Amino acid sequence: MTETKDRDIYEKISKEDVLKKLTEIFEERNVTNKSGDLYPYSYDMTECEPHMPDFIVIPENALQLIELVKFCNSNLIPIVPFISGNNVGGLTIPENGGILVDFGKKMNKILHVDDNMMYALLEPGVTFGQLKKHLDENYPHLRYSYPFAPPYAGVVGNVLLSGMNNLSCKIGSMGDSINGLEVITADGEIVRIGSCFYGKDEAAPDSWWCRYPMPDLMGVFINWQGMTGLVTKCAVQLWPNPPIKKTYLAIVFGLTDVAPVMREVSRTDIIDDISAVSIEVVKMAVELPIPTKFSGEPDFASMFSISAKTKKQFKAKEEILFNEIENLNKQGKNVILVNADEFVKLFNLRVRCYLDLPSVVLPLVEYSGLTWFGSYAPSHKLEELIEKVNKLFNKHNITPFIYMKMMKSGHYAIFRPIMRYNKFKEGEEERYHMLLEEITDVCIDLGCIPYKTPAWMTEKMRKKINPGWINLFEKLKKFMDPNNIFNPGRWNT
Amino acid sequence: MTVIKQRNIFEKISKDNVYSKLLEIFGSDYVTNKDVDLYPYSQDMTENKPHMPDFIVIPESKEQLIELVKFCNEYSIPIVPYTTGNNVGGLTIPDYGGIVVDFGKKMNKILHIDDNMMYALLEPGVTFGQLKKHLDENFPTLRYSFPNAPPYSGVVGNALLSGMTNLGAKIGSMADSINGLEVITVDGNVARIGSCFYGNDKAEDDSWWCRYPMPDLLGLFVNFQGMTGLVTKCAVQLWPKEPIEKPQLVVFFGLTDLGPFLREVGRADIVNDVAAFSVEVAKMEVGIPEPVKYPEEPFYTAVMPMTAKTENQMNAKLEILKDIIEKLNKEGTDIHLIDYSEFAKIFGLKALNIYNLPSQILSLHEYSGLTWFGAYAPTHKFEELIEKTDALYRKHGVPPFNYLKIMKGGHYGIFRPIIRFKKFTDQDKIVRLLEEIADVCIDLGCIPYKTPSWLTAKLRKKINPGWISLFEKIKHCMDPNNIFNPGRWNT
Amino acid sequence: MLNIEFPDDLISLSLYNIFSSRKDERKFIKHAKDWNKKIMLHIEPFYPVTVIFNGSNIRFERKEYPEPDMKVKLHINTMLDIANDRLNPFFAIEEGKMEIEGLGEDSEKIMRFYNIFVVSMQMAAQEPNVNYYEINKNTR
Repeated sequence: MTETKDRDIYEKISKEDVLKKLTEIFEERNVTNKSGDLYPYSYDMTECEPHMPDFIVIPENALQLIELVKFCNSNLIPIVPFISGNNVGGLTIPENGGILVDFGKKMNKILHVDDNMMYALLEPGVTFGQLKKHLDENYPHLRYSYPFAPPYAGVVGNVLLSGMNNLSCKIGSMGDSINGLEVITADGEIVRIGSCFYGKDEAAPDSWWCRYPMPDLMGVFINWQGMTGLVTKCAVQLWPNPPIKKTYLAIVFGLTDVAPVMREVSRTDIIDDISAVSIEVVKMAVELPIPTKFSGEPDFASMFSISAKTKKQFKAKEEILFNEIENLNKQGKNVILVNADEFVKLFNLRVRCYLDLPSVVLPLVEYSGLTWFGSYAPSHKLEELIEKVNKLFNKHNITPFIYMKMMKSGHYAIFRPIMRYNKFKEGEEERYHMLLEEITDVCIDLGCIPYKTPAWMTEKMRKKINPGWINLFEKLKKFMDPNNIFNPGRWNT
Repeated sequence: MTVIKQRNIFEKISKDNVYSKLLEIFGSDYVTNKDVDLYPYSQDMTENKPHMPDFIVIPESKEQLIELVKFCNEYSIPIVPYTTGNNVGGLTIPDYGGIVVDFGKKMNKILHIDDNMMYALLEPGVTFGQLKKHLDENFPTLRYSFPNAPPYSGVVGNALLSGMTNLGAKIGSMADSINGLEVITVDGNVARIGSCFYGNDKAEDDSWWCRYPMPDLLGLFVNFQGMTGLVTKCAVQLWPKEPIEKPQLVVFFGLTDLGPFLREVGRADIVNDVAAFSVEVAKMEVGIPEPVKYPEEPFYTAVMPMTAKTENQMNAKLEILKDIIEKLNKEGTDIHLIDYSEFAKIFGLKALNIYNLPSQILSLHEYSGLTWFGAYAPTHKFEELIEKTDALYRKHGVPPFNYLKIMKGGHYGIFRPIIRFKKFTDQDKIVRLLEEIADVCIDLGCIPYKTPSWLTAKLRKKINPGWISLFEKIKHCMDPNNIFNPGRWNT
Repeated sequence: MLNIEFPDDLISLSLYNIFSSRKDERKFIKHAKDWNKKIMLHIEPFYPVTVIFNGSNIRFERKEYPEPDMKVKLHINTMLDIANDRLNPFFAIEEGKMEIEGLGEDSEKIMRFYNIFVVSMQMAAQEPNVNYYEINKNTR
């Protein structure tokens, strides 16, 4: 196992020489080593330990990055990719120092939207808000999908880390939405992967339409947290934007009853998105300072989004949904279905932050700290997960915030206990981290697989993963990045 | 680039010693080196050059295979995986001799069906017919899917080679349906990939539910044609079975009407699949031995499985479908929709054979040879592909047999000119036609799947050097002695 | 016994299919044999086909004969409606969904046409077994 160790990068080459080289590649105004500039990149909203980078660079094109990679590879200097720093996992904290590459500032163009084969070709820095605006204005008959995250979060990061969005009940993990990548590997080669692989020098803009059927090299860059190369372009699938859209809110009484509701409704194969939040999260969204659940209040609120091309199709889907809810109530569950748009008008428009994605949930981002255990989960374990995690929250006297989704019409689920906290309050970070660790242990024990994993979490996972997988993983990492320059430290490399 | 060269396998170790070792691992009942046993594995239905293997082995367990891989790696002996030999691409022809591993005979168990998270855990030898029967009898609320291929073709091979089935318009490439793999790598390690990766020794049956979100090692075994390791288990996604079934037949009187239809219907997200055939194929299916298209007959027909949970949902889908056709016809196409089940009852139940399992066109199998250029295709090029291949077929005096699909809600298409031929008389003509078709299609951006080596040699000229470099490096990393199906992709 | 020539175009083949399941049936033979008529059938959107009844033989030609004994024109979906009993053939004529020329007042012609074409279609549609290989056990 490659050990994480402190590297003395500047033994081989001095910091000044590095600065000189970077200035040569990127120009002075796109390079910095000043503490005041470096500081915001040294930490994120999580409790993961901060670490200063040595340099920030703002690239404009792939050619600059090729030079950078070659230089860093021969001098063993770490490279950490950064888009907007909104991942909840410490993934852009440069644990071993080195050079942080900020794609978000300049490499953020929407290069091409293909109307016919429905995809968007993007640079890594494109944000959700940017993409939504572009589509709404220029391709209103097409849509992308958006996560429960702010509009300034990055699209490419979300797909490369198999995120989940508001079409995920229909389309599953965002990892399945990638049509093509352009990447730079450790030896400075530029590689185009997917149907865009045709063309010696460059790909035609209309050629980024599919991941298959050639040998699937794309997997080498998915969920690798930037450990295997630098992605410079990414093509993601779009979908038709149907004229009729409606969201329902299902209010569920009974702590674990939300689980069968989500399972059964997702299997109907008519829902675009299913997510569920603890009622405390709903109360938090309407800015109750201490959002406690009182007896008699429902335990969970679940949202189902449906869309259709015609009124007839919509009515047919609605009928199926109503029948399913009726069945569940007959079986003894206590579920009330309401029209979400109408409900929030009466209840509180702020709750629209769950409906209009991408969105900023102010009460989450106002706190200085946010962390979570975000995982893909086996759906038959949801009841047990809810019960056990709820107990842990209560044990630590912290308000339970649980977020769940059903994916790809019921094939798997997302289970995500969330914690917001005050970073600068004495003892808070430790307290929350302890809770997070206990939650991690319980969830992994029940088969959950965390995504966007910080290194302390992957360390726990390594104890449980079959040695064959670890072997293959390490072999591939070493092969792709023999000098361990790409985001070293992730997955304890 | 690794140069294709003849290897003298039995320099390092004698054939007899290899044989002894194989007997030791697999038992005498499951090893053969007799010509009469080897011969059927030396060729397939395509025009690809036959080559005799040196041995066939029939494994029963992964432990046997671990020993085999370690042994072969030490002595650089090629290993070629084989399920049923029905791929149309020469993929199981052992180009360099060596050992063909026949999974189809014994490693063919359905290990687990998970009703809740809807997946099936399979050994590599499981066939489509076998899986369908098992689900119909034991899990009638669940379904898998099947391709327009015989029921005795393999499920795992189809998924690992990103095949397409009768749910193609809904779910796309079958590679997206893989939840997990158990593989043996060249060093004899067993790796479990996907959500099943938990568990030091083995995985729980209920843990094979997702490919993500860990670093995606699964890609190393998808579309690699067995070049990176031996797959011993594969979990594939199932789907709920919908009670209302109303398949539709569409006929196209304009040569290129199929193009806009596929694009529009794909995007509408209402059909499970669109399998479109040249009318010559349809005629062949209903029993005309040497089908010719008459001027008044439609150019293409398409079979579209459609299902729904309720009658209302089905009627809503049909309404959208009819609107699309009406709109297209107003724009100049000549397309007509017919209820497929009713049509088949009156006009020939044989037509249903392509829709149900066994989903085979017997007249294709009756000829000794079948080959095709099967490709993933950019949908805006459908018209041009149809026109240009049509011209090529006519030039060579061969009836046009084209097969097209639209995939994953209209995101990409499949274009597949098919050629049946008499192996010992027509071969040269067919090889020439196939090459010309390949050139035209690749030029228009098509990407062939299940590629024989002559085809990958063409592709290599067009693919960006970075990709080729990375591909070869990964192949070398995974298989430094080139024992896994050597020769594929010209390695 | 009747002899039905095996055709090679789609529509004729379909008619062949409809008739051949009854070719040894006494009732069918009684109506079809020695009818000696040319019946033109145009199933839209497809092309017209002429069915030629000649003694014990039935054959098909992919064309419009200049002076057939009868001309029938209807849409494929109308045909399926009639076959599946959703539409009475006489109502179909009344509503203009099926056009027939040459029927006249000849009751024998009407009866034979009805028994050969309409009844055969209806029988084929009613067959519950849709497994081709079970119904055609002699097939390869």
